[in-house]
Amino acid sequence: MALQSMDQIISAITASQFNRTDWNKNALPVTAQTAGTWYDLSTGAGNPFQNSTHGSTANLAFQALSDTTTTTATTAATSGSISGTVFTDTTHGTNRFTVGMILTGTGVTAGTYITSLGTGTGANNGGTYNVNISQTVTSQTITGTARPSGLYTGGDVSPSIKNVLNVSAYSGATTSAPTTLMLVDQVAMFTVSSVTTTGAQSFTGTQTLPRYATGAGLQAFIVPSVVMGAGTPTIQLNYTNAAGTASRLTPASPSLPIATTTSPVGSIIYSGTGAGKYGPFVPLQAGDTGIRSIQSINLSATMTSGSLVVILAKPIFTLPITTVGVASERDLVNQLPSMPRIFDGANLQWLQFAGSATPTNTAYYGSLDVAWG
Amino acid sequence: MAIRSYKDLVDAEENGQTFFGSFRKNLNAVTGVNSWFDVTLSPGNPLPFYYASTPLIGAPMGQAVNGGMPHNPPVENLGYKTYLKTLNITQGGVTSISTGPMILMDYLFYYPFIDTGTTDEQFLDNTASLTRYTSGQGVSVMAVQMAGLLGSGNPTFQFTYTNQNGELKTSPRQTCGTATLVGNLATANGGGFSGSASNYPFLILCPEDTGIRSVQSVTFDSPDIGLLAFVLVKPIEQIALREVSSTAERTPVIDFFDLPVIADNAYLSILMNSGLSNISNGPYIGTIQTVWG
Repeated sequence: MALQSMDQIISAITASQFNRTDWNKNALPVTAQTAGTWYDLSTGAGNPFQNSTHGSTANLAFQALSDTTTTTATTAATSGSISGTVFTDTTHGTNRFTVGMILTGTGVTAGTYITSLGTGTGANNGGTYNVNISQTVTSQTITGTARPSGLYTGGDVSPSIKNVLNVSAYSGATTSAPTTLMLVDQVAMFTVSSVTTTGAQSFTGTQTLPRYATGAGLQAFIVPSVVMGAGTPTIQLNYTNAAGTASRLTPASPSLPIATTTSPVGSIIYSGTGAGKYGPFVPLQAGDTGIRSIQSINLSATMTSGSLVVILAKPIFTLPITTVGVASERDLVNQLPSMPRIFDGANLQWLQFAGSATPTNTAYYGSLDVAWG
Repeated sequence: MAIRSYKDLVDAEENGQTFFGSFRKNLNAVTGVNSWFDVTLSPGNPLPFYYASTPLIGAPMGQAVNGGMPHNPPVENLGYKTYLKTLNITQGGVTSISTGPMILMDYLFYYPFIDTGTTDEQFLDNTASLTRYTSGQGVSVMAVQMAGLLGSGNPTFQFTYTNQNGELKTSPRQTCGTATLVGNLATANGGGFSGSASNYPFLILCPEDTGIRSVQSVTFDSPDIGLLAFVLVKPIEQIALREVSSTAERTPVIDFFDLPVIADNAYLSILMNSGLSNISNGPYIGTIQTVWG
């Protein structure tokens, strides 16, 4: 099945095989955006809720991502507590705590989630995290659950096929335009918390992609899940391409991607202007059209501190906002015939290219219409 | 029966299954920039609706009782569905207009007179319930200022609600802006741009929630001055003005390809974003055409 004519689209809408989503995402909460740099808006506040999966898993482990994926982190037994709005991970247990994680445990108020990092960086003993609800919880095991919180598009529709009909976006904040939004399906990720280690670090786990199984069209980008320390290493991935050829390398010419020092959470660390800057994706070896799996990452020098996430994503479409305060709209049926497909389980998130120095917490609002048949 | 093709659409109109209505809303205040403004409270045609009834008691809204932008009478009992065919809007007579998006919405239900001056938990009466989109799937909630806030220090609040699956949830903390204008949304006006989600007209729901069925209570973290109405809405279609005195036209099936369905007895009104300009006093005049089949 598929939508194969305009009449079929009309029929599908009539049959309620249609979904409209109004969304909002805020840019970086603590740092102004830099002109010429790409950002991942998924971890920003807004609606849908912030993506908390980035960086939540064990170091270097493969994690598939779908709209229903959950990952968890825990304190060691009886080693978590909450006093006021501060959660303390006295002795860490498994995986990594991230902003947006929902906390559960005996006596923890329902709906409690991490709003920002304190001294915690995800897995350090004694690390603190700020939460949204003031309460007192004595020492016990506390679990954090992360969700990707991608854009909702009506749920799974198989055997029908879902397509995007139109999209809009708007921002009225000062210097929020020009900008370009790119909708991507984030398919998998690898946490890299060992950012002081140089040389090749191998990824672990069986890499079975939940969508785009061959890797065709999938590309990788890298963002911090915890603000990075000083360091400007080059970055090289060793990957298997969409044809199944292994040992493909990020090309060293004209330059390997170079990380930006002290990159904030959500920024694509090798994007920007100047030599060694690319964006939003890590360049592929000549002739490659996608990434099926990634075997290792190589940082040429330490980044001192922080934590990174390598994400495999499928670009869906781009939408430029040309002017501050003027709504941008795109019809993907008539105006730009493409009707990009959205697969069941898609984890839809926005990447953003900042065309100017965009203020902290700049808000973007828009809508997305899809139909299936 | 239903419209399932272009031919069905044309046939329905040729058979007279169409309604052409007009509206004129006079904004009676000067908004701030980057503000979402609910024209439901503005005078003109249709008459304004002030969300004024017994405090904290939820009440459904519908065309038959409350009015709203004119559209055709119910047709579902005839086996038809109503669709939005065209929506046009022109701003006339002033030089400062909304350049942000506008959203045509079905206003479903409201809770009046939520007092921002108390930190007590205010419990809302849900004896009545949604009469359209009854599960709450795709339904959003917005906080409309019935009496302007002070907004000092960007007041915050949380609310408890029932989501689209019937689960009781406590919302993330919401942040108000500093614009103090009747009709402005409390959490989505220019003064709140430093707060999270401040350009989004609707209140933020918990992770994984895709709609809201009812609101149970509201609790402010610190007292302010003002009154809010919580309004449950279903967004239908957007349209955007880009120039003064130039008509914005939206023919969904042609230029946005979504042919939105309008439920029987929908209360239609518009939420407007001021964009970079203050929206000054003046009329917004438009037409709406529906077709059913």
